[in-house]
Formats: sequence, C-alpha cells, structure tokens
Amino acid sequence: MKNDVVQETFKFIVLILAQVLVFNKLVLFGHLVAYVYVIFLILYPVKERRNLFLFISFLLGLTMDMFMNSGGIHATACLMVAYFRPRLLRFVYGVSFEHQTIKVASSPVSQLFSITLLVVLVHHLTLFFLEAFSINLMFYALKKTILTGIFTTVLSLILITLFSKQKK
Amino acid sequence: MRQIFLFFTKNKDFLFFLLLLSISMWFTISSHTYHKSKFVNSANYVAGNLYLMSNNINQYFGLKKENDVLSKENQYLKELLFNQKSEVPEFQDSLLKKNYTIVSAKIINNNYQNKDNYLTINAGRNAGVEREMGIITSNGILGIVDEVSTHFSTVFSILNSKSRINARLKKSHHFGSLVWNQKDPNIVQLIDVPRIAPILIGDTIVTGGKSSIFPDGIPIGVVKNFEVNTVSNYFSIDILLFNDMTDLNNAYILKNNFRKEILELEAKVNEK
Repeated sequence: MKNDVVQETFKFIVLILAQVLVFNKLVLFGHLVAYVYVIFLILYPVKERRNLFLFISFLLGLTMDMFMNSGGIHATACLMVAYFRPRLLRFVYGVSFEHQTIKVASSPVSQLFSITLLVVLVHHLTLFFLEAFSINLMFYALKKTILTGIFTTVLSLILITLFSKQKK
Repeated sequence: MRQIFLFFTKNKDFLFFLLLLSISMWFTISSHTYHKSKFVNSANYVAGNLYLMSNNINQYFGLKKENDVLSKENQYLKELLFNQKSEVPEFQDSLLKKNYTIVSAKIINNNYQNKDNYLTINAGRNAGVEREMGIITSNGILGIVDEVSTHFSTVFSILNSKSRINARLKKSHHFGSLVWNQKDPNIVQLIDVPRIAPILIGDTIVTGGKSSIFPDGIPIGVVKNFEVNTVSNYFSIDILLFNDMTDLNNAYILKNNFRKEILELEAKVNEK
C-alpha cells in the first residue's frame, strides 16, 4: 500500500515534468502536441478510492493549466476522465473487473489499446471543446481531437510499453 | 432528515465530482473573459523557476544564432548613432520626458500550438513590469503583458484569439486590427482596413500607435496576400511575421511613461 503511494507520487511528478519540459516542445506540424500526462489517469490502480482519485486528477489537470496558462480546461478534462474511468474499465475488461486484480500496464495489447484510446478520447474531447468554447468552432475542436488523439495514443502506448515491467 | 442524509452518503462521489467540476468550469469561464485575471498562471514561483531552469540549459543551443541577431541589431543602432544629424546631444528638458522606458527580458516559455497562446518571461514587478505593457523583439512585436508576479510575467501573445492590436500600412496611414485565425503560427491577419488603402503584396505592416501600448512604427511583417470582403468593403490581409514565433529568445518590454495620463484623459472623454 505504502509502496503504491510512493510509486504514484513519483509517476505524478515525473509525468508533469516530462509533459512540461519535453512533450510540450515536441510540436508536430506546427500545432499538434501529445498530452502524454494522461498516462497517469490510465495506469492509476484500478482499485482506487473514488474521491481521492477525483481529487488527484483534478490536481494534475490544474498543474497542467498552471504551466500552460489555459484557465481550467485541463482540470475539467482530467476530472471527466476520472469520473468516467470505472465505466470505461467495465467496458474494456468486462463486468467483473472489480473482483479481479487487473494491472492496466500488463494487460493484453488489445485491452491496453482500447482503454488508452477511450481515456484519450474523453480527455481530448472535453479539452478541445472547452478550448474552442463555442459551437461555431465545433469542427475545429473535432479535428483537433482526432489528430491530437492519434498522436497522444501512439506516444502513450509507446511510453507505457517501454516503461512497464517486463512480463516473465 | 434521514432521507437527506442517505442521499448525501449514497451520492457523495458524484457530489464531490460536481463540486470539483464547478470549480474547474469557473476557472475556464473566467479565463475566457477578456483580460480577466486568471487564477492559475505560469507567472508563479514554481512554474516560473522550472521554466527558467529549462531555459538556462536550452539557451546554450542557440548561442550562435542569438549572437548574430544581437550583432545585427548593434550594427543597425550604430548606424543610427553615427548618422545623427547634430553632433551635440539633444537638449534635455525635464518637461520632454522620455516616452518609453525599455526593460529587457528573456522568454522562458513559448506556446504557439493552442488557440490562445501565452509566453512566460523572466521579468516581473521587481523589474518594473506591469500589466498591459507592450513586448517586442529586435524583429517585431510579440504581444502584451498579461499577469505579473514578483519575478515573472505572462504575455498575451499576438497568436491569441483574443488579441487585437492596432496596425497600419507603413507607406500610408490606413489602419486596421491585427488578429490571428489560429492556423499558422507565422501568419496573422489584418482586418478592417478600408478598401481605399493602396495595398500591394510585399508591403510592410507596422504598429499604428493608436493605442498607448505600442509606439508608432514598430515592424510587424509583410503582406502575403489579401482579399476584399465584398460585403463590408474592407480588406482582409494575411501577414507574414518578421518574428519566427516558434523560435524566440530575447525580448524588450516597452513601458509608456505617459500611459496613465493618456488613459485618464480618455476616461474623461468617455464619461461625457
């Protein structure tokens, strides 16, 4: 349990630093940035305490907003993911996921891919619709969600497979 | 009473979610209001120092280019100095106070991929920076200071959907507003220029000096192409910026010493 707290805190800080110092500078085609810090929301232990997870996600988003001067859009997006994550997990891992000891990082590729894609989709949809903040720019938000979503998903999957412990 | 209690305990996660959601939505909405203070911004101690640290490392990679830029600027300033008409320094009168004071700063964080972009610079209140000061590089304008802390400030970049800066043609005095259509970080748009203005591709666009933020004639960019809006009879012009907005390092902040006076005067006019 204590080990988990240390590990998650470490992940939290490292992902924020990586996002701010590396991935925010990695701009594809002049306007695409991968928000790989969502890895934290994907890999957070499945047997979470609901309130705590909501609060940590909110904090993560707010930190990103602070660094990117974006008001509160990252905080809202992270909060949405945190709230809907149990439903997404149930969709990907089946109804009985709560009774199993699932580790998202070491699950089969197909399931890892689905949960990453779903989390990224929820996050980016909220993020870009709030950034656009008007129905007139709906097309802009959708386009940016899809393009950035692909970029984030690919990079996140690469990072998760690179840094997760090897299965024997 | 017990029912209410039960309702709260049963839905406590959802209520907590709603609470956090309303806080974050409030942050979002207030940041969309023009020039309203943001509650979380990168002009604070943690973010500012992290960006400063990363900039201290990154700046070594651009030293050669930065030297070239500075020596070119020196050359230009020397030319101005040596070609001055009178040898005698100009008469100094306390009434003819300097219009603009200049503060130099380093850009320690730069965004250009979002819809609303902000820069972070390493000069704050202690360097005399205040809100709504103009910021330029040796090539042209960058934006307007937004939030200020003791050691850092955030800058409202011209690559921001809310930015509107007064700009004009260099050869005539027809002016319009500088906006950004969020497509290309090196191209901005000049709108509301009357159709009578003689525009050609390649014309230089400079700041208009109609606001108290930028002085007249600071370079912005050149006309890339233009079209006439047949409904409103105004030009809409694409401008290629002199600045490479994706690669910025040193900047100058312009402090208009008469701004307060100008604003007070204008406020009086508006009251009438």
